[in-house]
Amino acid sequence: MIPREASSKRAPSKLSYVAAPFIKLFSNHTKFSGFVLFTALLLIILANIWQVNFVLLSILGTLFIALTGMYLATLYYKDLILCEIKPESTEDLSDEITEIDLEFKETGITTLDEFFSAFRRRVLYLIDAISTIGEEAETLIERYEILTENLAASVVIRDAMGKITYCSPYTEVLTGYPLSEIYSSERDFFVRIANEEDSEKLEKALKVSSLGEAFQFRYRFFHKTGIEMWAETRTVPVLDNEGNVTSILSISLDVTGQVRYQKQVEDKNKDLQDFAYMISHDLKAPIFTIKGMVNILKEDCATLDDDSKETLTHIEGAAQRLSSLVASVLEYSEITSRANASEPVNLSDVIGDVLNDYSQQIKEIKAKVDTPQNLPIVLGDRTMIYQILSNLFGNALKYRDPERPLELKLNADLENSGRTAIISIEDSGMGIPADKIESIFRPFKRAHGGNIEGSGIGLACVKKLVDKLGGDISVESSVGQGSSFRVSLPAAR
Amino acid sequence: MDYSDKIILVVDDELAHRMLAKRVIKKTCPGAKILEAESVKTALDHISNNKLSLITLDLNLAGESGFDILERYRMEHDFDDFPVVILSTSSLQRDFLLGYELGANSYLVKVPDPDLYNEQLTGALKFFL
Repeated sequence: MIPREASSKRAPSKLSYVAAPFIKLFSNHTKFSGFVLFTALLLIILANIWQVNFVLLSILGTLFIALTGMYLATLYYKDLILCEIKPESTEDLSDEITEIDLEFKETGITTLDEFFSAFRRRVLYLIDAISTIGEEAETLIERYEILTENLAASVVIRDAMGKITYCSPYTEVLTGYPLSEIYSSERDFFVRIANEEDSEKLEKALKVSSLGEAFQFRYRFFHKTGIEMWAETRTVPVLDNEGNVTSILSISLDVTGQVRYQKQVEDKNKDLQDFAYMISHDLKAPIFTIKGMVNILKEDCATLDDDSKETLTHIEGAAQRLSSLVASVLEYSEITSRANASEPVNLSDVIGDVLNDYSQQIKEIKAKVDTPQNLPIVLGDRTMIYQILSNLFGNALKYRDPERPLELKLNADLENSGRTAIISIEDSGMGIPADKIESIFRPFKRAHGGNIEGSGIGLACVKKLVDKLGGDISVESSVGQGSSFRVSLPAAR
Repeated sequence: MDYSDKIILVVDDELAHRMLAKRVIKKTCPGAKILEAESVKTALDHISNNKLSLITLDLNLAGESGFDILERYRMEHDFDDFPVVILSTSSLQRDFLLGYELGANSYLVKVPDPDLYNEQLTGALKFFL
């Protein structure tokens, strides 16, 4: 499947280069050795008969001994040299065998003993080599088997004609059909079970891959139980060395849960948008009417007595509260559909803006605010981060303990090797009762009702904004001591 | 200034809202003729039968949409004829955008603050007439 790299044969050692001519000389021409031997003996005899001097005799004798020794040595050495090239793959191995065959022919080994000793060495060596490669191959095959058999994905191989030749066991789980039925299906099994609207997609993908291109897509199919499911499939052509498609591999994952979840989120967003539309048009209109009518009454009826005037003021007040409630619900529902930027935001700047907005109030209630000079840069939407911090600051000022002066401490640090910025806002306010702390970030859940004005949507908005920026928010609090909010946001790096 | 030659059409399905708009118009443009419509059909009839000077247009018309009036009218006429001021409770961005896209000249949000509302509508009337 993956083009195999041509394995580089190990170069023969220098030794074989040096020895090769001698081997050839002696092994190919055994008769020559015999001739040399015979000549040497003859010369010695002749030298003795003719009383040739001692020096010549010694030379001839040495020559004789050297040649005989070399002949004997090469007989043994030949085997060693032939073993020099170790095969690294089955291809090398077959080359090796061919070479050995040739060499056997060339060497002209004549005696059976010679032949068998050389052959035995060779065979033992080959068996050893084959088993090494075999083990490796077996491990590889085993590994692939374990992979395909246990993969939570359906792996299907089709031949060039499109016939299914392999199906991983998970295909049974994915489709609900036994493998035998998948193999024996006359029409392509997966095209058969695909939703009719999507079967074309699958056929197209197979066609594209049969032409040599990979293709990825999602399609609907029917499980044996009749349930419609979603698969994400990738079809890949398998090429031979010449680039021809030999088979088509397809891998399919069950993405039904993912698709359903996505659809739910989309539906929910749509609902929220409809909700926002309804609030904007239908809920706001009557408030506008009440306010407008009260105003007409006040302007036109100079004769109204004090009681009636007070009644009108109550109506106006109620309409006003309803109006701000509607506005905050709208704000809450709009966060979901709002697009948010992801840019570096300097926390010090944002805190500066927030403090500036509340400066009058901070002065009035003589609150002590403590913020460090250099705060980290976070990643997010500046307006949203401003809203988060402004809301938390506003709450701290609003829910202060009348018994003691308000102290507000803000801090920010980096965590997770600088990936996360943790902003903490500590106050010495009223604190949140333990039984309310769980629901504090949910809409319309207020820890302090009654006297203090509020829509109960502020912290719910904060939580939604923090979520939207990929962060997290938590709170620790005790009544009579104060609260500490902890906001984590992605840090800019 | 004399407004007796002006004809202003107030399109709103809610009687009280038409009343509030009329009060402002009467005060700002004394003498102007005020027509009222509570549905798309009546509005289109008024548009084709009168030489209008201005329309105040609500978007939510009891199941119908004020955008339909803009859309249908735009198919036949130029909006140079008379200005259209949308008067809606909606402050949704998509309503703003669609309104201007369909050729409205101004978009005023009906804020639940009578003084602010009066001021806004007065400003628009003075500007366009």
